[in-house]
Amino acid sequence: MKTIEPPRLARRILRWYCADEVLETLEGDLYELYEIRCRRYGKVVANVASFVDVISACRPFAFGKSNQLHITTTDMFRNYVKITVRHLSRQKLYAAINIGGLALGLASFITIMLYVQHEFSYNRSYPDVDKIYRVYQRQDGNTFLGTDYFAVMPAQLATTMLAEFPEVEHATTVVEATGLITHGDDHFYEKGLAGDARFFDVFQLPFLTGSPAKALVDPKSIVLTKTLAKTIFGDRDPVGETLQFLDQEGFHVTAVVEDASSTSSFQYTFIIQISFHDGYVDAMKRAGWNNNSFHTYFTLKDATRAKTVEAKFPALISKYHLPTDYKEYPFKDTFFVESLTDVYFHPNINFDLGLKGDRDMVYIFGVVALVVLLLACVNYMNLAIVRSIKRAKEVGLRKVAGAARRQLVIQFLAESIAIALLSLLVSIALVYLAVPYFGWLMERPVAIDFTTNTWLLPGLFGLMTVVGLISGIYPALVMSSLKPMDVLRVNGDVRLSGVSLQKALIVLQFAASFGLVIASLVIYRQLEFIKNKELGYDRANILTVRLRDFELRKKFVSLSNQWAQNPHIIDATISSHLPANISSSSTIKSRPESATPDLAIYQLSTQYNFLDLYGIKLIAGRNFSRAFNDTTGANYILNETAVRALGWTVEDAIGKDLSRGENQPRTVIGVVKDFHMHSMREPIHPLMIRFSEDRGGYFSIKIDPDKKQQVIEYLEKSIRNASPYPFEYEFFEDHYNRLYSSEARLGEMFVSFTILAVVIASLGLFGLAAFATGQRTREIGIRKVLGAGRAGIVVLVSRDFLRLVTVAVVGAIPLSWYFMHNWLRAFAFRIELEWWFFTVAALFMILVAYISIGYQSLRAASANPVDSLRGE
Amino acid sequence: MKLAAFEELVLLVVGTLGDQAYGVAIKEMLREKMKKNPSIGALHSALYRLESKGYVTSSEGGATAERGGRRKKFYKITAFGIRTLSEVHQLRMDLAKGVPGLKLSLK
Repeated sequence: MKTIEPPRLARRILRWYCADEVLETLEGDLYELYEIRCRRYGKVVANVASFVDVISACRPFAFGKSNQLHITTTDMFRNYVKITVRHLSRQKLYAAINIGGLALGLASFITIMLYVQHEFSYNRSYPDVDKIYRVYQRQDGNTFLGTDYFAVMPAQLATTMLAEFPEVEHATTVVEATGLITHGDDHFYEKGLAGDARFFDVFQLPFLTGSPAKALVDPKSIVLTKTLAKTIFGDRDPVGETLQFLDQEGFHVTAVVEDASSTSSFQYTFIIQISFHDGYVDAMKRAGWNNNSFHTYFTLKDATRAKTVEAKFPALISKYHLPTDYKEYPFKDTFFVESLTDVYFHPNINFDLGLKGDRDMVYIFGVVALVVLLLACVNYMNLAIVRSIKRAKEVGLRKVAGAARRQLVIQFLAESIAIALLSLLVSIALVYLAVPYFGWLMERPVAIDFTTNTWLLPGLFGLMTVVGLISGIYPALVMSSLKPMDVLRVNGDVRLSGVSLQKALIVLQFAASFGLVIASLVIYRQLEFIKNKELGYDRANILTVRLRDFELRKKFVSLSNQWAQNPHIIDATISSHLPANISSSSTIKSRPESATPDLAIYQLSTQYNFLDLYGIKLIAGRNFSRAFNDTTGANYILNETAVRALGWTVEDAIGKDLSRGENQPRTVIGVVKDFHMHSMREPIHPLMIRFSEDRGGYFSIKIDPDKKQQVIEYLEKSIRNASPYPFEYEFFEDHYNRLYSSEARLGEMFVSFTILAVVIASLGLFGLAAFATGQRTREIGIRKVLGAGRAGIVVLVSRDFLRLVTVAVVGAIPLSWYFMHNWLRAFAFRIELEWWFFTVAALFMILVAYISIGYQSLRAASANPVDSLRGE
Repeated sequence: MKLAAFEELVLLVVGTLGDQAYGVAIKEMLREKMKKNPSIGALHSALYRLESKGYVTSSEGGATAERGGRRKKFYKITAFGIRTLSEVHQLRMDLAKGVPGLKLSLK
């Protein structure tokens, strides 16, 4: 007769939690009730009710004799601790690798999470920050530097919005203010902001002295941050004192505020009244809008009304917007509102204030952190199981002595949490080391700070518990499910399952590591290529001085005459840009017939010595020269690309007119060989060089390399005599390298990740090897008895793993080729992806694999067959 | 409090059922007589508590085919249990007498 049975899953759940002595009764009741319900209500209801039964019976009475558990927990705890310590000290190598691997995973996770936390914390430290918004605009078609979005708005927008939009509570106009602050004889070059009288209504900064309402009312007022106030005035009260900013005198200090928070994306050391800005004062006098140079920030009474405000803009624009001085204004503009908290993650916008972050990159980093942690946990699990195999006999004995399965699980879990705690401590030490480096790498002030970061300590403990539980649950369950019969058997080898999952994970880890090795290699080679490529100009021994002082620029001629006296100064010039980064461009007509200017051409202005100083080759015509009348500025030197773009050959370009019939003629007097005036991401663009001796952004001075320090001191003195601005100098070589700082950082990042991935992958392989070799000790013993040599055993053991690694490597080749190819394509000048990159990377991975398995296979090969076969 | 409300009910049913008092039977009686439908877990929990307090004793037996061959756990009320029940009941009656309008009959 067939018995109707309750659902299998319900029975399994019951069997899982229920103690043996209660199980029979409960299961019997389950059966009987099921049968009754089937008759009364039908099968479906009966099935559901069975699950309800099973869940309802999950109560203390079903878990075993309660008095037994009480005694065990308190007394056994000491025993567990003793056993754990004993095991760790007996298996030092494994324990160390286990703790180290987990610590590494934890440290990476924590470091990256600190960074992610920091990124998401930008611009949130203001009171009522949800109500603070800003306006930005899109000028459809006016693409500059890759986007047609602009963060700058008309000067009058803030006051207009305040007048016309009832939803707006406060609004302010802000602009960047950078320059020299002078107090008596002291000069301070500072970066700050300029705002109107309502600045502090929108940005409620913490005030140390002075009142927010009055701080920027007076057009000649300035507010300092704590540090700047201390720097300028020491411990005196700065309020009421007078300062000069740029060339304007008479600014009164009205208040002192706290230093800009490290989570503020715009850093400032002072806030000055915006009336210092002539453009602003001018614009505010007009009724209509014809400028876009300022930032508009505002607060809403009700944060949900943001879209309403946005919808009202088109009407506002048509009311106030004047056409500009362009012949026609071809770009339709649309205004948008954006919450202050979103500004940081909005990078594709021109002329915005402050630091920008890439939200995608932050997410990617978060995912990477999680993956690394998971891999570390998985590796831990594998290695823990391996360690536990040795203890299988202990487990068997405990069970025989009456340990309930629950107790064993608790014992193993406690052990893994203890190891997690140790790993956490080690990882915190690692994090202290890693965070400054990571912060430098990402150029953000990431910090590990237990005092300000309130969730950090509890978060870490929570993490430790979760990691301990996750990593420990699988080994704990596996170990506690072992039947004493199996492990206490004389023959000894314990068989465990789950190997294919481990193998798959190893393949993944090695594939990822391989990909990272390739990436590091390619980035490194490309950077070397950039560093060593012939640029078309000299880099060595040239000192450059940044010129912010307009007056200083005009003094070039007299200064260079002075310098000519110094035997260690070889040459000097002044130029609008340095050859490595010519960022100013204009448009001209490429052909006489062209209707409008259609050729983008870069422009540099400099004087006689430039080409010689930088070793730029002239291939036709002549350089600027005192023998001719170049000072009129009508004569130009072009580069080869420009000549071609204008439809000429190098020879017949001399004497031609660039202006194509417009106003004044622009005569070509010489052609230079193409040189790299931008990063190698760009091809060489057309360039025109014109003459100027008293305007420019940089002095370039070629000096005697043996007397560097002397010359620097000499130059500093001579320039300080001529200008109060600080002496900003840099060697041209360093300036050039800085252009590629983001690529260099990328390379560093990849190298770090590669090392991390390789270590984790080898740990994983080490664990797997230990595990698999352990399973085969008897087989190896037999082989040795039958005459296999050491080498044969090594080959046997390693063969499997090498297959895994080869699969991983081969599988990873297409994807890594694809990614690196795309990355390289961004460079106009680049290396080729050569086949030996992949070979070297593959060999490297195989080497790593060998080292990981090495220990295991040697041990297996050297093991005495007597020991392994003792049991037979 | 010697006896919680639900425990008291269960004890009463155990007393009533005599030799036939086991999990499913107790559950069914509670369903019919009291219109209560306790879960099997709650019921067994109460039975274990009653046993640990000494109001009932248990014994195993009575495997049937419907139970897939599994034995039942029979509960029998002890003298101590009976005494406790009457004490509790008496307490109730004494208190009930003080409520005006409350008519009680004991069959």
